Amino acid sequence: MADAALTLALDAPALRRAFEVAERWLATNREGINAINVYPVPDGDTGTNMLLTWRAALKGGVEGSEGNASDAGAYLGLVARAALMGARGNSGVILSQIIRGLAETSAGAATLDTPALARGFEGASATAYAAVTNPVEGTMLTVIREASAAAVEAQASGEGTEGVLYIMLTEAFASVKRTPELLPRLREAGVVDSGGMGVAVILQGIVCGILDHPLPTEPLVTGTAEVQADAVEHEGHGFCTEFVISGAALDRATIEGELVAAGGSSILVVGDPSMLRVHVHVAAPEHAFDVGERHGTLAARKAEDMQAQHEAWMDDRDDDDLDPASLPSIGLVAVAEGRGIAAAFRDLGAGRVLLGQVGVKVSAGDILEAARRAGRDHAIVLPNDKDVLMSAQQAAAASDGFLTVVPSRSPASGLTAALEYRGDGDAATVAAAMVEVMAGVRAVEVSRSVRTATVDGVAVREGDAIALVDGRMVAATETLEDALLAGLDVATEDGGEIVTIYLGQDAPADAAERLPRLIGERHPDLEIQIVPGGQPYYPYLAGVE
Amino acid sequence: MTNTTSTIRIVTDSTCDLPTDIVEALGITVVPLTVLFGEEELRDGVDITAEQFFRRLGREKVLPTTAAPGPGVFRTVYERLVAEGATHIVSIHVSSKLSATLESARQGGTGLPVTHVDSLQVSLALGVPVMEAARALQQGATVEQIVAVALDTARRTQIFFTLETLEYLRRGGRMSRGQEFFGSLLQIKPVITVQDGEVHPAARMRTKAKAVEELLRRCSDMRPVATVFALHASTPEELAHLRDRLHGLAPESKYVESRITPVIGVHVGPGAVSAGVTRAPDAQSPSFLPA
Repeated sequence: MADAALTLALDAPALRRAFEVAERWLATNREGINAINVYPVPDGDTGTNMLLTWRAALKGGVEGSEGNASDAGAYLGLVARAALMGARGNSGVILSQIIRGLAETSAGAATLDTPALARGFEGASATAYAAVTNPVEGTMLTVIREASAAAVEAQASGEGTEGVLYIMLTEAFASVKRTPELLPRLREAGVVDSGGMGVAVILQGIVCGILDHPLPTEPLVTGTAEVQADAVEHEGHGFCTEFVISGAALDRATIEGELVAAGGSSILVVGDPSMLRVHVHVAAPEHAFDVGERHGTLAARKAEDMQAQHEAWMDDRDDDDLDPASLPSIGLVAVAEGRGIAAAFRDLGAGRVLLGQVGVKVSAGDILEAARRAGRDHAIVLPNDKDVLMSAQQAAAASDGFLTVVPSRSPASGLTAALEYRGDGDAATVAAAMVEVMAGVRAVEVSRSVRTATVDGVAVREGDAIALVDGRMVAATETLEDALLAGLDVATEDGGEIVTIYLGQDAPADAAERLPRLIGERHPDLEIQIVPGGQPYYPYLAGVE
Repeated sequence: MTNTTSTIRIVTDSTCDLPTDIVEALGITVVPLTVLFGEEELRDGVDITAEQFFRRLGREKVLPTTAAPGPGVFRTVYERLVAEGATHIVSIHVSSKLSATLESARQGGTGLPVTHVDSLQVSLALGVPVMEAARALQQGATVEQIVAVALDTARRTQIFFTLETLEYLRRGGRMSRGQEFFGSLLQIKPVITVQDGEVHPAARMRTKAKAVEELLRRCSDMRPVATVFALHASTPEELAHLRDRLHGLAPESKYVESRITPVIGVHVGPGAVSAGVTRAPDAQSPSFLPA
């Protein structure tokens, strides 16, 4: 400790510098945090969602503070407001509530000293707990609570600034380590909580920023081989590139290594030695294709400009001269991944469809903006993803009663809910009818596991086809079709008249022809409808009603 | 207040869907609308039966359209009734918001002793008010009382249809509101109703069985009932189920069943089934009502 007598007086510029260090550290660890995921499906990008939320918050602090940038309390207020709207994913929402708590506790303070900072984190914890309907221990809530309590206690026992900050940080990482003891699903999956890790990483960045200590050069969290400190520099740029390699004795690790050398990030290689599916973010897709061609024959090549994807995020956003009179009294907003699913929502009356970007969830602000453009008097939003649910609720909380969330956790249940949507009448009644009909849907999700783990009592090997029913793992099989059938067996336990299968972008080409026969043999009384969904990650989604 | 010096006759149109035995027993005159297969004009229920129509619908490439009877058709009917001794005619018709039939009837009735009634209904939701009007007439009601009975019965009546597909309704252009209702990517079995004389969406269901349940649920919401009714377009086997369920719903009430006439079949398509309810008279109902 260089200066044990350090007296802390954080004003707005100092806080901003510390938060920017935290941003860099979170960016460095983003992929590693993404890789910590209970469900071995590559769609829960906690690191990315927390980073984008943190960035949105910081941007709000810069934009709002021009001219009066010295007051710490005012700066935190601006950051907190921007965080609430920029929150993406459930982890982003909780992070935004942590920031809000810090800001509310610090309101009116010109500078923060060590006791004020400790109290600020304590307030952050209390606010975050209060914002969650059913707080679960072993999550980011636990980490902020235990870390802030340690800081308050250290401060009370006479520790200096450095001592308080180090004790807080040590407790934060210890708390992360304990998360599997508190949350059985983490223990079963053999991981720590990703959101909790994100909180610890942010705290570490803030502490390094305050104390002007250099950040470590290597990322703290390495989940998979692709983690590269500079990979995050490609954030938002380059191409989301995908292809399938067919060949003999294909070696995953070799190919991953070559993709890293080709400048790739977010690398995902799954399959077996005769066929591998590759997903990579890379500035030059041809370099990734070259890697693939060295090992076998390529099929299903695809390269999407991620910047263009981002611009297409709100596909209807360019209508600035929108005439409010042309809107229905009650508008419907749906969050969708996949063009086909988006089209089905539009078809059922959704005036706004928020098309998600691969690996990034829509923010509360995106949802609120879409809502304002969907309805004259009211809007109903279908998040269609458990990890969008909280940002939708956050948007609703900020909407003065304009927005109501119908908490759909999958597109299949969301589409059934949309059947009950009406553009006029009493919004609460319409929303209640949507919620009611949704209860009669069982959602089946079929994907490929990206990790070997035991989840919900099902032992899953990396590359297995897996089936989840209403968010619970029910089967791990060799083929996607077997996983779908196993999922349908569970989903039809209590009956069912119709199954709607949404084919993902990775669904086999002949699925539309083969599935009706396969399912019909097992479930002769079930009506079967096949819809091209185009969703990523899940070759098959299904809803049983 | 019986009227023994005048002879009143009741006229309606073929969209009333009343079965022949009721029409004959109550002396109702039914003027047919027209079904058009291209250039070929067929009088609804006269030149083409429901049986023939739905069989032909499955074979034809060009979808049929419908047309109101011309004013001349009404004039001929009214003049014949007057010649047969009618001193007054009450002409009760399909909603003016769905068909030009009533307008045509008004033009055809110029200078003749005809009172026109806009039921703002269709199918048996028109048929049941016509039936009640005819029964009031049998019990000696005046023209004013007959008109009041017809309007009040129509007010208390609601009909629901569940369709196999929205395609026919969409092409026929009869749905005035709720364009967002027309989903096509997901299989939807719509439930529609007639409200204020217009076709409105009522529910979108995923299967026929669920749609029929919804139909019955809507009917059961309307208790206490005076009359329940059911219709089918091309699936007589479904009528038995509806009959049983409606009886269970209102064991004491009158029950009418029929087959959807071709001119309505053009808009609802094959496989459509329908059920509806006439609620029991209420405080707004006229004092003269047929027993």
